[in-house]
Amino acid sequence: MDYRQLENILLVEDNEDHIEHTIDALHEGGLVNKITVIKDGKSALDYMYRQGEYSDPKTSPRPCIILLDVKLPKMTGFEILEKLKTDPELKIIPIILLTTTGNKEDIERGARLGANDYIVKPVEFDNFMHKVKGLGKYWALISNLTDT
Amino acid sequence: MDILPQEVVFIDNEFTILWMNKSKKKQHSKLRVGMKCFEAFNFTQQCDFCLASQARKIDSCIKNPVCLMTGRKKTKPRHINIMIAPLKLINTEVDGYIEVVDNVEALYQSHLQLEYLNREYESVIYALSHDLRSPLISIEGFLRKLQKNDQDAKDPAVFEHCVTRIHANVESMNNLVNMLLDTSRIITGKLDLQEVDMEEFIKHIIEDLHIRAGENNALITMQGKFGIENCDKIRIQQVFLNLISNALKHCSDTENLTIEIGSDGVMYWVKDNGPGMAPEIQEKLFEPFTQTTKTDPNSFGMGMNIVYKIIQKHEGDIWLESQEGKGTTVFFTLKADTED
Repeated sequence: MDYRQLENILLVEDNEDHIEHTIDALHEGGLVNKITVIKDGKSALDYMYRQGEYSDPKTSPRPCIILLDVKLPKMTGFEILEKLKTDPELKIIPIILLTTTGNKEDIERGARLGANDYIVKPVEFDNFMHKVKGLGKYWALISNLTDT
Repeated sequence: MDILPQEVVFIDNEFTILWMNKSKKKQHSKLRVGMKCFEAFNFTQQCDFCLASQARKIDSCIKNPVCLMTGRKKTKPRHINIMIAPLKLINTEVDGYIEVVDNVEALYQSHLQLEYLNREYESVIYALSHDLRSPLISIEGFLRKLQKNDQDAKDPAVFEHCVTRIHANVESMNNLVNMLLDTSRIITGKLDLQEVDMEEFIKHIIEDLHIRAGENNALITMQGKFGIENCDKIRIQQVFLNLISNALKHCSDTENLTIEIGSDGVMYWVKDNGPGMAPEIQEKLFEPFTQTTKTDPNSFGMGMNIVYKIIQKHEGDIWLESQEGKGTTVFFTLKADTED
């Protein structure tokens, strides 16, 4: 079955080192062409709603998957998750929560708000790629969203 | 029984008060022997919630925790435990009741305080588990990268980068642990109280901060009258340094930044003309691990909590006034107990 490649992954993460490790992991997996990194919650929503500096769909294409850190400046990962998963147009985009602690309450709260999966850092490479690939393919198959 | 701290009262079957002890008289000054007990509640007949009748029905003692709203406007809660039991009064033909009321307000308040501390403790553990784990994750990632580099590319630049980042993360963890140790010392340690000439003291602090203020194009001024204060000099210096550093850090984009250190002889304040704070940040400002700005790897949001703990240790108060766009003023008072 033909499916669109994972053209753009949106990584919402504020820790520079964790960004570096996640990008390393994605590149080593060799499945993604473009990784967009956003470092705070408010800008992540600006990106998704194409506001301000992210208003051009060509330079800010819709991601095929969002990797979302729980603890972010300005707006928490949960607030972003809730906003995106209650939006009729955007809720289809899979979101994987990234948690530092693996805290049970955080994981349950994420699931209630509609997260498609979660990953406890440090990124276990095989498991991480498996989740990203699986959810990315799902999105590519069923999504009618375009990048315009 | 008359000297018991609990309120004790004997009532007959018709709810007439036969006897009461001193505590009861003190609590209900209008209540008299011969009156009906329900008159204490300004009722004209037996209360709907009459515990005495219930006790009679089951022929056993009833214990009930109750919260009464007291005071003129009925807004002041008073938590009590009521115990009421049916009894046959000795050497009389009268059946009646004994009611014992225990005031547990102090116990209730300390319970609330413990609950608050427990919640604070839980939030500290949660934040700690994140803030200590985060650099560990980074270190682990760089170690993995170092291993890979050693096997494959052997790129000296990658080696250098990984080692630098590992050092930075170790330092970050070390800073956090030091900050926690310092907080713990403030909570458990004793204050080193001494008479401090506050005017001289503040002048020294401003001199010490001269270079940093210059780097931020900020002016630090003194306003009002400063007296002699009985306080822990090193800790209060820490309070002023933390408050001024915070102002310098959070107002870095403010043109003509002025930080005023003031006193009216009773309270002190540190005032800035910076961007102010959103109400939701103001609410949490003194809680541990409250970060107000964008990510700074060396900031854990502990500074204002340390300030709060020091003022608390001096039995003073701390509060703030802040308006977005207009600046922030943090006020505090000091009232150190010499026996502490």
